[in-house]
Amino acid sequence: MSKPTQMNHEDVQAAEPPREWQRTISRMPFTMRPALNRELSEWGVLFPFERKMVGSFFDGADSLSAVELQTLTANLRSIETKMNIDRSSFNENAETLENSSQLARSAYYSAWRTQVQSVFRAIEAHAPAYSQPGPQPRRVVLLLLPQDLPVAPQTFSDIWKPVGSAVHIIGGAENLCDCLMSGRQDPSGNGSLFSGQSDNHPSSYWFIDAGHCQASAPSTATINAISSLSFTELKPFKDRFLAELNTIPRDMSEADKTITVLRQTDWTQWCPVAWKGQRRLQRFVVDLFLTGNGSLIFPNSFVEWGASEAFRRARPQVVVARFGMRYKPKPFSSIAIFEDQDKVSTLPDQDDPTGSAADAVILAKYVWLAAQRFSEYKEALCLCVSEHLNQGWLVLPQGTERRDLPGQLSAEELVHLVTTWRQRQ
Amino acid sequence: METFTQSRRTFLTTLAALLLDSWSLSRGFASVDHPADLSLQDQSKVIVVLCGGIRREDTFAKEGLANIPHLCTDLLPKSILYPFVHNAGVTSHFNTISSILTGTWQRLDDWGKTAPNTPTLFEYLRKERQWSEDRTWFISSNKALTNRIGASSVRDFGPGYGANVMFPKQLLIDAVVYAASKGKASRSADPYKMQPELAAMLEANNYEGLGWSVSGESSILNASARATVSQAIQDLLHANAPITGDEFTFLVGTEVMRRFAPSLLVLTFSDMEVAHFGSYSMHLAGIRTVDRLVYELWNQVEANPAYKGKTTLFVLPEFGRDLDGSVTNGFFNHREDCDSTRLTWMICTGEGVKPGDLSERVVQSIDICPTILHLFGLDPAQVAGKALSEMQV
Repeated sequence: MSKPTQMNHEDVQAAEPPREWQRTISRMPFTMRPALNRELSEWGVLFPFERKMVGSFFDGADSLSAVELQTLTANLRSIETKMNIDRSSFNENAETLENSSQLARSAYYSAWRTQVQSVFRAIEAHAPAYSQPGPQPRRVVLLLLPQDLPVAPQTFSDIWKPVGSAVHIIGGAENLCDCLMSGRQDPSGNGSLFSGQSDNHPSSYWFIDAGHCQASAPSTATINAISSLSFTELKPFKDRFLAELNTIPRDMSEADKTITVLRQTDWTQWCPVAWKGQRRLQRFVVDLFLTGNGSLIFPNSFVEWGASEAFRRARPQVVVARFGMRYKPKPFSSIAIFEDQDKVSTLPDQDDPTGSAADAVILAKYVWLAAQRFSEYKEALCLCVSEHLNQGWLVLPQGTERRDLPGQLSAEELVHLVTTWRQRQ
Repeated sequence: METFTQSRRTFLTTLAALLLDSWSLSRGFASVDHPADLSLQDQSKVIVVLCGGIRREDTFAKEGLANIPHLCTDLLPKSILYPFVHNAGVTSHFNTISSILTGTWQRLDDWGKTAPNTPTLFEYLRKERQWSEDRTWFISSNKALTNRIGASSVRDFGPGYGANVMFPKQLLIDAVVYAASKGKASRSADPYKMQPELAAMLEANNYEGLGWSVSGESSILNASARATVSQAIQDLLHANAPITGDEFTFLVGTEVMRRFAPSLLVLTFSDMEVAHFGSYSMHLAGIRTVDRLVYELWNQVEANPAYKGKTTLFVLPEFGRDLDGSVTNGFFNHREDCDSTRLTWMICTGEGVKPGDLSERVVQSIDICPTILHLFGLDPAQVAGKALSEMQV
């Protein structure tokens, strides 16, 4: 058995993944190969955290002898045989709809999923840790429901009361986002939420905005230092992408071909100018759009799914998710055509405050739940604010003393509380 | 004066009737308005309503009852409730509906590329009972289905014994998109300018291209129907109010009941599937629409002599939806292997049902097919599901 090695900094920075990893993939059960090959083929657009995670997995796999790996994967290989997968149409080099369809319709799909997870866990147990030793950065998740969303107080409370503490925001909450992001009005001078600690990579700081309200947008300097996604700013990109996506015929192999083309297309001309040089961000959004979940359709779904994927792929230190307004469905669009209302009706758009608020409240909870899936966020601070209610719910890490938390604070005091907490080691 | 909603409903009803006119003319069907077979009026009927992915917590749970006032107040006292219906198959629409219709777990292409590999209810009944073509219908809002849902690939059964399959919503979608996509109309401030494009579409296509999924040599709309449908869709385009696909499917379904009085009618609703796009408020609105439409459907049954006193109604979601906090993004999807996704409910009303009954044992969604066959006096051994003993012939 070879000795596990810690993936070094150069590997994370390298333009290409180590070649020997291809050999490692060939040792794995064939149904695991598409996902692993995809990671390698997309190495250039993986976030630093993803590269560390992938590297750690391969280090773990390489530390196993042939016999050990064979033993570890024996059950999975046995299930693969029973699944009777058509190898001629199963693509080992990329994750495809055809692959997913073949796997999902097998009677052994559930058992297969369990075994794949088991193999991953076992290999990860042999792998060197991918997080840095020493104290972890303090993470913050800020969820903002803007003033124009009439959030129902009872619903808001029902969701957050079991995990958080209510804070009434004296004098109104409308400046809170601005204060947190700019660092202004923090008497301690601790700076903005986006002020770096040990890690200054843009993928460590995310601002994801439904894009309806223009207030509190990050400054240009901040935008260049963070991963900033605005549904409104992405409209040209989104519209263009959707038009291409809608050309897919009702045929799985054709759909796979189109998706491959969409992934390989250079969308720079459709992207915000501020993204210049942030190739990973462009690719992140393409993947976001391709994985659906309403990210191409509704601004609040874009915010929720974007934040969830950011947690999974980049493990950021700070995520600010600001929800917003969607339009009411127009005649016909409610039949099924949500994609582009202007396509079917020239009637003016109308806001749907009540529906948007109902959507945003549950999707804000989903962002928090998405973070909670990862151990890095067990110690995170989460603040969900309804500007309409002048109320915030503060979720503090387990073990944090709450007795001294006042029931009401000014926006400045709340900013101070959050930024001070984040800066503390 | 009619309210706008009434007017819209009247219009949609008219449109549904027109579609059926075209249909029956092209297929040479007689309707019970001009019945070829008066005995149809006296026979047992079964209606199955499948309503997409709905979680128990949004319906038959304390916090969900507000979304189903008609089901829990108006229908439940007359029904048997099965609070635990398990879907052990592939929780996609095509596979689940195929499984329910065949009584056997189907593992097919999710996009409806292949037909079920065991016979459907429609085929058993039409073959064994020598039913005519117009006695089994499948009418659906769901975009995920294809006309292969109506008959299996089994050699001794197949499309010759299949159901009439219709996707009314798709007709509207295709018509509107086509009209809107023809350049000059798409950005016009005057929606009436869409008229020429729509007319051209109707001239150029048979109604395969308009969302009718039944194949046939004589499936071309006649000129009169074409003009009327064109005008009707134009009127609908100008209606400044949301119109749901399920409402249109319901109206086509009730029109089929009125004209053909089929013995077996399967309706599938899908407004709630907006959940895939992440709007929880619109998802709940879809559930409330289904609640209302099912109640109206039962009222239609009670008001229609061909159905009153001889109909059994089955209402169930195809499956639930995923748990909050799941890796599959909670209510958006229905892919998880968990009770939230696999466990749903069913209510059955009408003939063969003991009112106010409750069966708390876990039943399977594939049990519905043999139960219906049993209600019609058939007992095919090759069906995997078991007939529900609570339902009496």
